[in-house]
This record gives sequence, structure tokens and C-alpha cells, in this order.
Amino acid sequence: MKTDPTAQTLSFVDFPGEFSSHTVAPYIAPDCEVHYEALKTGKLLFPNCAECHRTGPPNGGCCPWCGSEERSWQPAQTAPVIHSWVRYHRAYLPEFNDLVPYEVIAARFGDGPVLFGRWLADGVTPVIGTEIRPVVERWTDGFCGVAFAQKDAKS
Amino acid sequence: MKDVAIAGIGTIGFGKSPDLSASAMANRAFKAALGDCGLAREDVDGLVCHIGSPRGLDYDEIAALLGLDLRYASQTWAHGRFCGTVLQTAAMAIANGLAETVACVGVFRNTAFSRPGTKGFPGFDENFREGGGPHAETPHTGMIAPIGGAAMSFQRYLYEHDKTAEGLAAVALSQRAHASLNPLAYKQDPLSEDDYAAAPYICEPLRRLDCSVPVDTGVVVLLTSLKRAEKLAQPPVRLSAFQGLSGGPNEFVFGRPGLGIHQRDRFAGTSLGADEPVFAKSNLGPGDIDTLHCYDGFAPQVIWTLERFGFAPVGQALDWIQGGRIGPGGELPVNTSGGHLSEGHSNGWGQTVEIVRQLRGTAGARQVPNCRNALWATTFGDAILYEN
Repeated sequence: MKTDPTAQTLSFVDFPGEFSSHTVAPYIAPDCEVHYEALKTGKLLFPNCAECHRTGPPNGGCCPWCGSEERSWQPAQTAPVIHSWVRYHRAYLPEFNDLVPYEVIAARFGDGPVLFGRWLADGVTPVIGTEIRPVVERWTDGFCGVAFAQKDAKS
Repeated sequence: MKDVAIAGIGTIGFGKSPDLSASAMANRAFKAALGDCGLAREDVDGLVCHIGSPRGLDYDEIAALLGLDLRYASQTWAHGRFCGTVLQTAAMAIANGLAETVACVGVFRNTAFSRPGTKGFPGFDENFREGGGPHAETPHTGMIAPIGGAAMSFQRYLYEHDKTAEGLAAVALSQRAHASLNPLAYKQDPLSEDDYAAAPYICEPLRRLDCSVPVDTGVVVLLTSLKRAEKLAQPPVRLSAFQGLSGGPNEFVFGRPGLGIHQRDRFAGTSLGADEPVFAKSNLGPGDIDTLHCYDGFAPQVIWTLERFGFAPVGQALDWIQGGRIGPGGELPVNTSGGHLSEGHSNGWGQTVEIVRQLRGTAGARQVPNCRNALWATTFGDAILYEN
């Protein structure tokens, strides 16, 4: 489904508990910082290639299809749908000890990137193919990642 | 590559060895391999090792601690997926005159560390690679540990092919039935369908019994030219066709190509089957294989290997494996040692020594009758055809 990029300001949720992200946050290369800095303002931006005009994942310093390093950071043009999902019954990281069982969504944005994110709809089993809504998940130290909620959920 | 063969094999078995150093495990397996074929330590002039320190040993440690005088050495990245690559590298070194006899070493102390995916496991920092973790880990989302990627792929597989997960039980049950005939297997006690159904989920849709069993092990496989191997104590097992490990935007280590996990494109799953290079190079097809051995860190990898290499139609392997088809006495016995799910997670080395036993005709109660052609093949695309 096409969305209006100019209207996309994501809502925020706080990651449960008082955890610093420093042992779980990704390494962010300087030329990929835009994605993560934009999340702090509620914007979800992906790199759009200046050569082949395809939209790629937020990590990586070049276009995976044509190799160009020229790109602009654009709002997601399509709403994500659930591509797959899992439910963890074991916590491997202490940050998630109090959350099990918890679900992780693989969300596909059109023909572009796939992002993983925590599923925020407690008690609702994810359904593949369902349109969902990205939100910004904020950690105590300010790091922001993406999580997913039901399309029509209020928070 | 018809002029390279496995001459000797040695292993310390598969279990818990908390009191043994990695070098002691390597030494015992190395001596066993030399004794198996009648070679002497000084005959070994090449070494390729798998994973390395701290779970195992790096090539320079092995050379120094085992007193080897090498003119060729190599080592792979610290992941289980490179067993076939190690053997292929050794074979290429022999074929190109870089070494005459190469020791392929798989030594792993898996029980000495915390669980994979936890912060104490060696290589945890790999979760923060620019391209994401090696199994699609993304720690801040809770997507962590190798099982996450396998479970994510399997969930998508079930959706695309309108299947339920129940059929997957046949993998664990069949391999445990094989393992019950293998005195070296870590898990030999019988499994029932009720046992499987009662096993807890670890990362849904995968249960504990869909996961490999961590063990400590040491395996050494000695490769040399076929001409030389024919003069040694054991009948040579030839490496007759190869296919390299695949990579690219549509490849994910824990999923069949096209499932779109950790990838940019998705497409309908296709099976190359008899057109896969390993078959094309040998003029054989899936129907000519007497026993299949594959990487089974998680049970769905058996499903995807069967489909990728044309043993079962795409999307139908869960049905295809029912009725004992891959178990003892079945149409295609798979992982007859018990594989990683029951013999123990040896990163492919347990399967390799089992292939040699099967082709020598020394696999005991689990011997596949008239075994002539055995295939090592993986979800991630590499393969080796072995012949006696």
C-alpha cells in the first residue's frame, strides 16, 4: 500500500526496563548514521540509490544492485507487511529476560528492505501478509530502533 | 577432482570432555587417523583447520603443538558451515601440488562456553557486523542466536507451502533412530512422537528436539592423492565431484534460497536438482545417491537440503520424509550417524567420518547396503560427492 511520506512521523515506545543499548545496539558506520538519527525524530528513512533508484536496507555503504554510493535518504514509500515471525521462549540476552515469550517480526517494505523488530501487540499472534505499523523503540540511553505494532493500534 | 581421496579418519567421539584441552583432542584424533591408514606424522605436509581458537585451535597452534612440519596451511572463519570448504580446500591444495597429504582438523570445545547467542559465547561481536549477524541476528530487536534465523525461515517456508510444523518431527525421530545404532553418538535413547510433541519450544516454530546437541569433539580426516591412498591400509574414499558454498543476495545460511529472510529479493523456490553442479560433474543424479549427509544445526536444514538438491520437490519435503523414508532402512538414509541432532554438533565432521565408514562398509548395524555413492550437501549450497 502506498503511503504519504510527508505524513510519516512514527510514534515512540520505550524499551521495557532500564537498559543501556551499548551491548545490543548495532555498529553504525558514519555513512549509515542518517537512518538512526532520523529515527530519533520519528522518521523512518531508507537509502534510495541515485543511479538505479531502488530502495535498499539501512545498513551498508553502497547499493546492493548497482554498486553506487550516491544515494538520498527517503521515507518509506510503502507500509510494511509481516514477511515472517518467530516467538522466543528463551531469553538469550538479559535485556529480554522479563519479556519471554516475545515475538520478532521480519517486516518487508514493498520490494525494498526487510527490517526485524519486536512485536508490540501482546497476546496477538502475528499473521504473515498482514500490514503493520512501524514505531520507534527508544532505549534508556537514547538509542532508537524499530519495532512493530498492529496497523490500527493507538500506541 | 577424481585423483584425491580420504585415506584415514580419526575421532575422539562426541560428548562432554571438560578435562581435555583442544590440543589433546586434536592429538588423539590425529593419532587415530594416522593409525587408521598407516601414515606417519612426518608424512603430513598440509593442514586445513576449521573454526580455530578459542573453541578449537588455530593452524599455527596445531602445527606447533602437534609437531607438524607444514608447507601448506589454511583455516576458515569460525562457523560450522565450512566443513565442506575445508575438505575442498585440502583437495585443491593436493591437486595443485601445494601439499601431498593434508590433515583436515575439526576440534571443538562447545561445552566449555555459554550457549550460542549469549554474551559469553566466542564471536558474540559478530552480531554487530555491518550486514547483520551471520544468522540474521539483530540483538536490539531480540532477534538473537542462530536459532532465530532458522525459525524465521521455517515459519516463512510453512506459509509459502501451506504446511504445518508437525511433519518436521520425522527429522529428529529418524536421526535418533540412526543414532541408536551408533555407539559414538551422544544421544542414543529412543525418541517417540510423544517425546517430540512434549519438547518445549525454544524459538517457535522450532522445538528443543529440532536443535543440534552441543558436544566436544575432535576429528581428523587425512586427504591425499588417490594414487597414494591406494597403497595405504584402508580402501580409499574418493572425492569425485564438488560444489562450492553459495553466497549472494538471495542466499541465507539457514534458509532455502528465495525465502526472503535477511535478503532483499524473494522469488519462487526452485530446485536445481540433477542440474546442480555436483551432479552435472559426475553424471549422477539424486536417485543415484545411496546415503545423504547434511548440515543439521536445525531440523529444517534437512528439509531444505532435500529440496535444494532435488531429492524432494520444492515445498514437499515435509511430506516426502514421512514413513521412515530417511531413517534406517529407508529409501534415502540421511545422517546415518545421527547427525548434529543426535550424534552431536560436530560442524559436519561426524557426518564426514560416517560417510567414510559407509563407503568402506564398516558402519555396523547402520550400514547402508551396497553403499557406493554418498553425498555431503548443505542448505547453503556446498556439496561433495564421495565414492568408493
